[in-house]
Amino acid sequence: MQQAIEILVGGLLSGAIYALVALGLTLVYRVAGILNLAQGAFVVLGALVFYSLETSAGWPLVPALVAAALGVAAVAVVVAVVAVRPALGRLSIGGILILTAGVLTFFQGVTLVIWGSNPYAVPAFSGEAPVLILGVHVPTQGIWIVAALALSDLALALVLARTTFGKALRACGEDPVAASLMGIDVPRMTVLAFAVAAALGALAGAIVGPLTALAFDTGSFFTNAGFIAVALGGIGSFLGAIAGGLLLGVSEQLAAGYVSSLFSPTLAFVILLAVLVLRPDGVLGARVRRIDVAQAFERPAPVLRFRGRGGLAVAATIVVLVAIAPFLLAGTGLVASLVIAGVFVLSLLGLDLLMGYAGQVSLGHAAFMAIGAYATALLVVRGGVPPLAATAIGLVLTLVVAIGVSGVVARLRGLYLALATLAFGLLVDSLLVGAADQTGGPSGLTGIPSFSLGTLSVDGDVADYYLVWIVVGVAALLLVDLARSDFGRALQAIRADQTAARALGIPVARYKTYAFVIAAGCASIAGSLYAFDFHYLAPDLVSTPRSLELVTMLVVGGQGTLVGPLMGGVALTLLPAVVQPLAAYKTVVEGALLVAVLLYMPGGLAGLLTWRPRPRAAAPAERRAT
Amino acid sequence: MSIALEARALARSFGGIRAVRGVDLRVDEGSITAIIGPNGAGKTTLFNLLTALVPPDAGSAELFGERIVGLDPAAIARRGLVRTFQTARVLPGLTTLENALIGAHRRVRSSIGAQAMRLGGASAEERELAREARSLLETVGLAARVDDAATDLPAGSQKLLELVRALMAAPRVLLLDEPAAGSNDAEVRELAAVLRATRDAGITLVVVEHNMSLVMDLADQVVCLDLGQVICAGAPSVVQADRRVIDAYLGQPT
Ligand SMILES: Nc1ncnc2c1ncn2[C@@H]1O[C@H](COP(=O)(O)OP(=O)(O)OP(=O)(O)O)[C@@H](O)[C@H]1O
Ligand SMILES: [Mg+2]
Repeated sequence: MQQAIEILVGGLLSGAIYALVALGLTLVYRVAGILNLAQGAFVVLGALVFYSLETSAGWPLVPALVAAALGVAAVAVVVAVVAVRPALGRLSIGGILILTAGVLTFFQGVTLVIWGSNPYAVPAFSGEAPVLILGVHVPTQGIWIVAALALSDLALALVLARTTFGKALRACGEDPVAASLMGIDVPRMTVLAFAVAAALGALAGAIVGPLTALAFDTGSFFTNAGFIAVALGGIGSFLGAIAGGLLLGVSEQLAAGYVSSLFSPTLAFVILLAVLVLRPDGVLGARVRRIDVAQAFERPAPVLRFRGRGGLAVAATIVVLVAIAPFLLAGTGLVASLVIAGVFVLSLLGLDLLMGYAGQVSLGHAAFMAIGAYATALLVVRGGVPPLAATAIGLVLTLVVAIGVSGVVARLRGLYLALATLAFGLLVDSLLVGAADQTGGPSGLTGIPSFSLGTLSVDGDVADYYLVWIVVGVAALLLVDLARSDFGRALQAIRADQTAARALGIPVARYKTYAFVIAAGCASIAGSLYAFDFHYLAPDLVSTPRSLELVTMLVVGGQGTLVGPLMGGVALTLLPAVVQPLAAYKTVVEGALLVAVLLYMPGGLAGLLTWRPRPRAAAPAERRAT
Repeated sequence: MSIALEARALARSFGGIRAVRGVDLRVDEGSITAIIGPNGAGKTTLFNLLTALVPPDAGSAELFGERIVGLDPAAIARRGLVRTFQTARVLPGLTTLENALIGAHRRVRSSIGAQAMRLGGASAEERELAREARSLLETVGLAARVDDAATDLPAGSQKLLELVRALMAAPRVLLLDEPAAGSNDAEVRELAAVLRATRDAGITLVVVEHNMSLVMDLADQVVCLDLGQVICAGAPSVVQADRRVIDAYLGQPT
């Protein structure tokens, strides 16, 4: 009993933190219809700024706390003004979601550069000795946490109910178009909401610091927790955010206490996926319905096409370059990087079909690489299955999972679909770590042999290079033909206008499933090749950060062209290898690039190659030539 | 002559607004039916009900004797009931030619695998459809803009493109929602020629249209809707002379 109560208390405390993060997410969602994946970065930033001020600079507790919250709020204002405000009306809901993922990546990189990769232990505010309340040991920090949650709830409730800001905010939430017609400056409200949300997050981070180890990549953990809390409670509801946070905290602690701490995240993601799919309004049924700003103001996608011979010229150049690259680069060590690049390009080709053509954002693409890679590696290492057969079995397994997942998420659209793929990716991540007996857990799986066919073994960088790039070539040929046929047009129609697509006889759900499954298949084969090339697998190599990196590569390379994957995959893999000093800033650069390209180069690198029609006023004679 | 499209007692309300209340419609195969009526009469909603973009509260509809209420929009389109929209919905991100080609989706026979590998006549089919699309685009004067982004076309051209897209589907019954809106007299005459050629090719047409001279010129049957009900149906000359129709247009109580 005692134990149960202490588990419960622990759960409520971490739940309170999740609730604070979730409140910030909700605030931004209510104003702008955006789920800000960077929220977790503000949490970590708050914690580390607070740590530096209090522990390193010797500031007193409360000023350090206030300064951290204000400082992070200021950073959030800059983020909102520079990155988010310009995106409103320029990007789709999915685009903005990806953008905030870029901001998260950027800040994880910044934190890494400033504070290094070691975790920080923040000392408790009021000593480490727990107090005894009604016979239950409660860490003193817990009292701070509860107080912080209670105070921010109160403050938020007052602000919402009493101030013009609150009124304007509620108006935005109900109908942003009407709100802007009423003279409410929606973009400015978005910036304000970001600031308040970031301050809440920073506060949460500073206060939870003593109870967890914080490191540069903890940000995504908090984003995930906040996002699960929000989904549980019903996206857009403040009360739901608090309840969802507490619920998540308690169930996590219960699972860790009574089942297994390794699998407790798995449980959270299973619950999340179930809620997203079965009860998209949250278990409390409190989702706030709203018209999304991004949807209401979205601009049409640019048209990028290679015209006639231009396409042929580009294709020929690519083939020649790919064929001779190992000779040009012999001795530079870059061939090995190009093998990895090829693996990513293969995975990206599928992702491009799904995101660039069908318009379905996937934030869990690496999970399919993981399934292919681990299945193949385990079959070869543990089962002695020949590599080609193992790859095929891995592919079949991935396709089965993909069909299942797409059946489950098929009903979801836009934001919810992206979030469900994220949840699926996180679920696979946690399984890879949890099933340590099979997968080797966090420390990885070693001893994977090279790919071989009979007695022919593909050893060494150059052989690996040709193996991978030949597969890339075959996949590209098939996908290019597919994309330029009725199938590709149907996917683009779905992306452009689902209603019009249906009215033309396109079975939207089925075609989305096709795209999803083809994408997963590409990822699976890429994962298998990755394992054979690397001889080693760890969850880090094919987990959610990798999913986000793949999205970055695709966006930077350019979506919807099938050339973008090549350019983005190669450029972002080679960049840190070629420009060594950049390696330390890899994450920062990737995050910043993602944001910048989304905002200012919608065609990506491929857009530089392709012909883009200029809108021109049609002469009347031309309109009526006949 | 068989009945191409038949609706019985179709009804649909939006909140308190009874947009369509018990509409019966019979369209003979190979004919042109015009649907007229003042703004808000329920014409577009009737199309939405027939194409399942909006589910009806009550009533039934049949396409060549097959019940279509309850099918999803894509299934209805695949059976040959194709429509255009009052405000053209060309697909952003696709060129004019691609927009036209996507109309032919229901006719494409090559499997996805064949399309990927360009096997089993997939290339030939694609070439044939492209040729057809280009020639249709040429007849409506869009030949020079086949490779332009469709959303860059002026509004009138977008409506024509949408018509071409619908024709590419080789529909059995084609529903057109105000095809002449925003066109000048010369353009209307051209449109009339295209529609007549379409009818002569055996496609049954149902056209919502405000342009009376076009309606009188083309239609075999005119149906006038007001406040969600059919107030008059028959030959053009009969409907034109009907007191209730004139009153509905002038906004007077009938
Ligand atoms: N999705 C909807 N939600 C709410 N009301 C609707 C909806 N669609 C139509 N209505 C209402 O139903 C009525 C009929 O509209 P409908 O668009 O069918 O008229 P219409 O005859 O096509 O008019 P117009 O000539 O202006 O196009 C109108 O009062 C309209 O406001
Ligand atoms: Mg209408």
